[in-house]
Amino acid sequence: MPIDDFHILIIDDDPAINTMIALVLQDQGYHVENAYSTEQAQQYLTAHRCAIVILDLGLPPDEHTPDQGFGLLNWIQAHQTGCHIIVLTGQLDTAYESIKLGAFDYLNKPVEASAIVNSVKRARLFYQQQQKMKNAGIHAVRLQSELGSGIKNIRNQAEESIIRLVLQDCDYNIHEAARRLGLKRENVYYLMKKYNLERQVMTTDDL
Amino acid sequence: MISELNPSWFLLLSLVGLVILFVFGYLKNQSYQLSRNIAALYQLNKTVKQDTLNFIDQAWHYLNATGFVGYRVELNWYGSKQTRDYGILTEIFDTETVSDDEIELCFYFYSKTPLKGEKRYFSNLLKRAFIQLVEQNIQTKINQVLSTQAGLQRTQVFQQHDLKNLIQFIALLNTQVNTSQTPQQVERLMHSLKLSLPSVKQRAERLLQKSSMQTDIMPTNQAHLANLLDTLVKPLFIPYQIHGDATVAYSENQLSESLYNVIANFRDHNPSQNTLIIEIKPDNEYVKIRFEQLTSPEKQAQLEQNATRLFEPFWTNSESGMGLGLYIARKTLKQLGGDIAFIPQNQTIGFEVSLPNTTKSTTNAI
Repeated sequence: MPIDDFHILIIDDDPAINTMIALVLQDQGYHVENAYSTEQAQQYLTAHRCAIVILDLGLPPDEHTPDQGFGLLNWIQAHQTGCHIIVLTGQLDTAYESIKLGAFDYLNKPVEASAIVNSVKRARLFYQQQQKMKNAGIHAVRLQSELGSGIKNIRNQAEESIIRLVLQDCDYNIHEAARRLGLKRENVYYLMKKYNLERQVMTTDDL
Repeated sequence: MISELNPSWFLLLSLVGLVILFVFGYLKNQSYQLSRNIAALYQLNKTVKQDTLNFIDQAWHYLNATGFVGYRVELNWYGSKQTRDYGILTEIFDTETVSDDEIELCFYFYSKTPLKGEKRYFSNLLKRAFIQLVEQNIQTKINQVLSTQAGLQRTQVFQQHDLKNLIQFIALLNTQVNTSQTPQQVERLMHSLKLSLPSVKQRAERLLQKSSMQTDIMPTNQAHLANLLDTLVKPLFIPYQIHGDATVAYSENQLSESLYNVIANFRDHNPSQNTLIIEIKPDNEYVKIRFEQLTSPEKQAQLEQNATRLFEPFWTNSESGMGLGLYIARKTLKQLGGDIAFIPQNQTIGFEVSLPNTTKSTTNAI
């Protein structure tokens, strides 16, 4: 029986490691999906909501540099607000950039299965508590800005994050988003245009 | 009034004008010659493909045309020392030195009399252009070596990634084997292994292939040189004899790599059925390993002609070689505190490796 109704996506180009992590997590009762490339991951995440992603930074076509992984980490942050990303990588000196881009946890290969399970447990706990907060109308957003760049920049970032979060939560139902934000629909459209927020095709049944 | 000008003044002014015209013509001709010679130096450098030693040899013609009667180059070229003389060596000379970590070139430019005035100016300009081209060529060579080293470092990082993935897989598999108890779990594990093991095998094989081409940093341990050399020569199918023995304490991988490169050089560049004689002679300070093999007079002449270049990176006279074997051997031996030298002898190819005697305990003859 699955432990929760949320999904974990494992993104690793090495099929041996990918399937072995999946086995470890399935034994713990989690529902696991696999992706072996950036494209597969984006395809899955565009169609499904995902609570936790385990991400290897070295992905094809250049699996020996973390660039593809960082790009995907950034993409997930923008398109799956609230998703907890655990970076599991063998690349050196990537912790700072991973955390800067919003990774929830950082594990350096090789790690024991228990380290992965514990990290997933923590991520699940955070995910569940954040869901509770959402149900209570409290939304947590993550901001990252240089202090010297001024307050306006930070304000815009906060605005964009909260609009993006609510829109994703409402599956881009503008009427519902406007209700939750306490705004007129016109204002929501204006903000979507301002921050270039596009409707995502997703199903909520996996959430 | 011109009509009242003294004819002698007129003559004098005409003479001055003619002198100016002559000087102008002379300088124009000289600068034309200079620019032609500089252009020819650049062209020569291009023709010899920025090969410093060939360039130095062939540039003499142009240096000579600009007033130098001779020049000497004292070379320390990747450990090989040589002096090359061109033209007449006089008592009057200028010197220029170009040096780097593994290269030192000292140039002496000779003239019959001290160069003065415009001659000094023009010859200095050509000399400057010549030195700049030599410096540029050396820098290109160094960059070539550095970029190769960077490439090797990159390969090592790639290998580390593969190795980490392999260890990660084994760690996870180990957990799964220990925790899978129900028939369903075991079946799932087996199914997963059927899918993943072929790629694991492939990765492990690739890793082995890569690592066999490289040197790892290994701990220092004692090695019997005769045994070590025996294991290195045997797979090369060269007839060989090893005389003497010594025990040394070095990183076995580094020592093996450098000695293998020396031996493989005999196989690749002197393919014959002549016996390779390896003689190990230890003394208090150094262990000397001498490699000798008979060769043809043509090969001997060819080697002696290129003696300076044998340890130069990317220099080779073989179609299949990269020109790195002896360079790597020397570099590694230097890291171990030793060295290698080419020993030219009558119809024999000879190299002598010297290693600091780290153990001082020796045995003789096997």
